[in-house]
Amino acid sequence: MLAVGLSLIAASGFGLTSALTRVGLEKVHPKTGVLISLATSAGLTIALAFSLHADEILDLKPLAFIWFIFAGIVNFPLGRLLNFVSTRIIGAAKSSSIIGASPLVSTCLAVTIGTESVNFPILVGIFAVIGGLTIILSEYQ
Amino acid sequence: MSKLLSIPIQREMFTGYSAAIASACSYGAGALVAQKIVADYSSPVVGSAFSLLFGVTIVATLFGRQAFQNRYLVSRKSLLFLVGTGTSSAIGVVFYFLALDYGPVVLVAPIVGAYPLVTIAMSHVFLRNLEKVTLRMVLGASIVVAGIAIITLGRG
Repeated sequence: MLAVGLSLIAASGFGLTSALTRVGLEKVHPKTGVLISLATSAGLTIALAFSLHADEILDLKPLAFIWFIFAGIVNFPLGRLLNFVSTRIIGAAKSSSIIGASPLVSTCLAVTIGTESVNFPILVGIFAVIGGLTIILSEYQ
Repeated sequence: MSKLLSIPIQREMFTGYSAAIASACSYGAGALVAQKIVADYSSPVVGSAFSLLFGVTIVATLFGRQAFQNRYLVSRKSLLFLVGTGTSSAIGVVFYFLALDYGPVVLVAPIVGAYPLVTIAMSHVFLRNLEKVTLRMVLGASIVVAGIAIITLGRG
């Protein structure tokens, strides 16, 4: 029950992010918006990480930092900037519905370049996501 | 004439939809990188913190000068909302990892994955003057969320 409550708070946090982005970017360029938003997220998360896991941070392997940089590039200058650009143009609701399909990409990558295999529920899920995206994208027409 | 006027708008909409799809691809690939980090190198909070630190450094290097030149265009209201964006995003990440500490991923991930429905509800209530929520959008988002939940259960 606690996990459900915490998950709902997380979903509300992510949902609120898109709505706030829409208003925040009304008169601000997405690049500037990403910088302000990222600096805030980074400040809060780094403070939390140092207060909870200071020992672990001191013991990090050098190779870990290569992966952190890679994650930073994929998620932020790419992921969040494109997210902000799309939110500004097509709106928070449409943008977050399309971006919400990102686990589909993870699954496809995990199956094609990773070691995971496709089973019946995954196939059903993939078709459902593609169907849902088609309905959302059909508004573009 | 109206056709000529609609071309730039169509082009902008195309950019918006393309950016959303490209963002989904980036986040999708990012999730696999995060999986590798958490499996081999660090706890999720430390991984997120350092990824954000490097992310903000790269963004500042690429766009910091432009952002500094445009600082006068950022009103207090916009700044408040953008700081709110960063805060709510951090809350989302932290509570997602906390939820994973107390429950299995097959329970937590589908609930968190339903966040587009939260955005749609908030847009409908608070952003009425900025965007219109249609029945087709709600239907499409609900099917996407259901599909993601099925995929998560299938992978779990």
